[in-house]
Amino acid sequence: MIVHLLTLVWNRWRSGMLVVVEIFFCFIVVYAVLAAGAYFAEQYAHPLGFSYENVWNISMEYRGEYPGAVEASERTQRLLQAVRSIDEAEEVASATVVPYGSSTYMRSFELKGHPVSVLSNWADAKFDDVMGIQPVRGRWFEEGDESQNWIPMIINEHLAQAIFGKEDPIGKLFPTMSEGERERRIIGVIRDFRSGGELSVPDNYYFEYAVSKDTNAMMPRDIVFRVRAGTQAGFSERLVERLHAEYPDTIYRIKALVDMRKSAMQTKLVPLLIAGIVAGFLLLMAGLGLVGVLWQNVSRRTREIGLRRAVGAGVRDIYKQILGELFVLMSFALLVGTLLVLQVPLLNLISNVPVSVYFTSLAGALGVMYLLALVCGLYPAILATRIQPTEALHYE
Amino acid sequence: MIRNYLLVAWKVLLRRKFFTFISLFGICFTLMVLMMAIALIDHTFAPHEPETRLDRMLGIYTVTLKSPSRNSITVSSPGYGFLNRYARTLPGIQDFSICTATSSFSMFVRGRELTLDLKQTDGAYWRILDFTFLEGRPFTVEEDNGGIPVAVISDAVRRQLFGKESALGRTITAEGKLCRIIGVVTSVPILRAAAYADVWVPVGAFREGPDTELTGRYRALILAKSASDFPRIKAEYQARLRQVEFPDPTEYNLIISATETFAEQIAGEIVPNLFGIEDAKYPVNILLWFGGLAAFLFMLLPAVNLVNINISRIMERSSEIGVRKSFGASSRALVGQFIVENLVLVSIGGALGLLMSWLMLRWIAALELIPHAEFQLNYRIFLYAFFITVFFGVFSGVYPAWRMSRLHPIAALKGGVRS
Repeated sequence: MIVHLLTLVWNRWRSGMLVVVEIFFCFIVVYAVLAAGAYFAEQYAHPLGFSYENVWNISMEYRGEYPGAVEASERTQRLLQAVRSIDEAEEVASATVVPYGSSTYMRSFELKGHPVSVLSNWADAKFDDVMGIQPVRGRWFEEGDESQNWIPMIINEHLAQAIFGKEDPIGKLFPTMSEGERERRIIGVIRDFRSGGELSVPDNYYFEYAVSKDTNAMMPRDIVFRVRAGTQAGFSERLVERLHAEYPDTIYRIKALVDMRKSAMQTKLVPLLIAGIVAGFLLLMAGLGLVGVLWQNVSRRTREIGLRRAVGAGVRDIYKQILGELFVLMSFALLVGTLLVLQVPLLNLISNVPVSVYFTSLAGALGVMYLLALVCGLYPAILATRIQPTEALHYE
Repeated sequence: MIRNYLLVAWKVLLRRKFFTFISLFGICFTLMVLMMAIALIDHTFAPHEPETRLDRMLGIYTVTLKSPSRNSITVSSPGYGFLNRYARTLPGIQDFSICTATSSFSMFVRGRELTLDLKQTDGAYWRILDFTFLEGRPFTVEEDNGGIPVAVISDAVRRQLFGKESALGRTITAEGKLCRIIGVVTSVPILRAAAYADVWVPVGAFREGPDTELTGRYRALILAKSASDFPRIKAEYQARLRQVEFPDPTEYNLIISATETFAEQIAGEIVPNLFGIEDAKYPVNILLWFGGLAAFLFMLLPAVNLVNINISRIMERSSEIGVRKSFGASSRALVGQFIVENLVLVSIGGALGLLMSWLMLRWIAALELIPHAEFQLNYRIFLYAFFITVFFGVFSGVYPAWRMSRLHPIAALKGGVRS
């Protein structure tokens, strides 16, 4: 049966070849869009590690020279106090990197001779309450942690796995990142803290305790606070005035994390949406083209099909022939396409993409293309079954 | 003869309406997508008001400092003093302006938060760019040098702050400084990088920090006398970079910077990120080649589709071709006929596609996805559309026509064509 179909297709390779080319390009487009979608879906499935509802962020832009560590930490305390003084704020904390913000800090250390990069953040003792972070092992920072002669540190599971494998990391020393720094000790492990949001790549992450007796205390950059559920946005003007009264040399911007999340999502998803729409239209175009070609094919082969009907071929046999030929062409194009797209993971052309993404999108694209073949082949096949044996006999 | 061809072409199009629809749909849609992309690119990179002299403009956007050991590298915007000292007096330039990139600040209007983009500029800025003033005037070089807190705002800001009233003489608090509004300009879309802002204030009133720093938060806009002066300006700037005095030569002793056109700056940012090519000599060309290749690949699928449909059409008409061949029509005449037919089809598709892209652009502008942006079809875009349509006509017509001319008359007459 299959050999017979192959022979039929091979004898008419010239008309089939262009269809193959078209299907091939179509497959590549569908695969690319599905792979991008699958990549985002894969990221989305990972736990975020924090909650963003009812959390607001104040980002602070200081315009001036660094006033020294004492002044910097005093500023942080006074600004935190100012936010606490408004009724709406339930929990208030400060951190250097907030979720959905634009800044990230990356450091690196050496592990078994290989450089490992890690996202870093500095947070205070209340940050876990505001962001709803639950340590899976150990504990979060506590006031008084600054009195240790080492820097308390909290790492995510990804990083714990990378450094310590299956061992319990609590109480262990963190690898040195640069010469002359104080040693860091791990006091807790969190599930994750994906500050880039749901669509960011899960990565190594650590928190250092922001309150320290070090001489290099940073200028306050971000304050986050949790409000009661259902609080309206009306308080931000009052809050800005309050903060401005405290330190007028800084620009304050207040935003709900929900809004920051929305715009962060949009910048990543809108291009994918546009690509998806364009790919959808290309698919429609290719599908219509396929219907046209098959239709014409059937009407040209009236004699052949009529003859088959005359010698006793049933409706099912005709369906089998028309659809079978299409599937042979389709499979040939998809085989070439699959071999081509498999080069991407094999040659590791794009880094940082999990292998599963390639295979789910490959399976998805193959499924879409075969479905397209079925839908496009159906109408011409029905036309073919309606051919009467008598029509065929007119010709000779 | 041609009239005859056109008539036949029209009849053929009407005969198989489904095929005609598929062809037109393909051409229309492809043209529309490409037109949108081109309109966006044109809107970003071609001279539009107020950047009407973009073809003569250069900018200095970044400086890179390297330590004696080359281990420590700082990339930053240039400092005011640096630009003033080493770039202002470059030969062959007509005008020179120092401004900042935009920074956003928020204010509250009737309890609602309003985030506005602020740009600090000098007096020459208003001569380099071609703003339309709805009321008032730009600030002058003297006002900038004197550090007088005045402001120019956009039409949209005036509407939000003062409704329909005149804004002249009113005040606005930008970054904690009270500024008197002296002018209102037509709102500028965010894609016009040199011109875009909501509020413009004199750099002199806001400048802080020492004058000697190489890095800061400024950029320079240079208006050359003509684009042919670009190589001379660029070469002279490189020569001056070698004479820069470093405040602390043990910290940094090498400075890298360039005078770039807007396209060069954008391409210089995109190319290393997208293709991993660092320090490409002609990043704009790389980007253009890549864009051209992407457009070609995008057109390939619809073109192959069109070829398929065309071949189907021809095979259906094999008996007609057989008759014409038997009565002595040459292959060339048949090919000519088919190509004319195909061009008729493609032109109709092209016209429809252009109409649809016009409607889509109107719709997108109405959606205000990019505030104040007006995507318009101009003669450049029309030219691109024409080229794309011709590409389709030729690409999709030649192979089927060749196949057609090779049909054997006897086989064609019988209607049984081996394919």
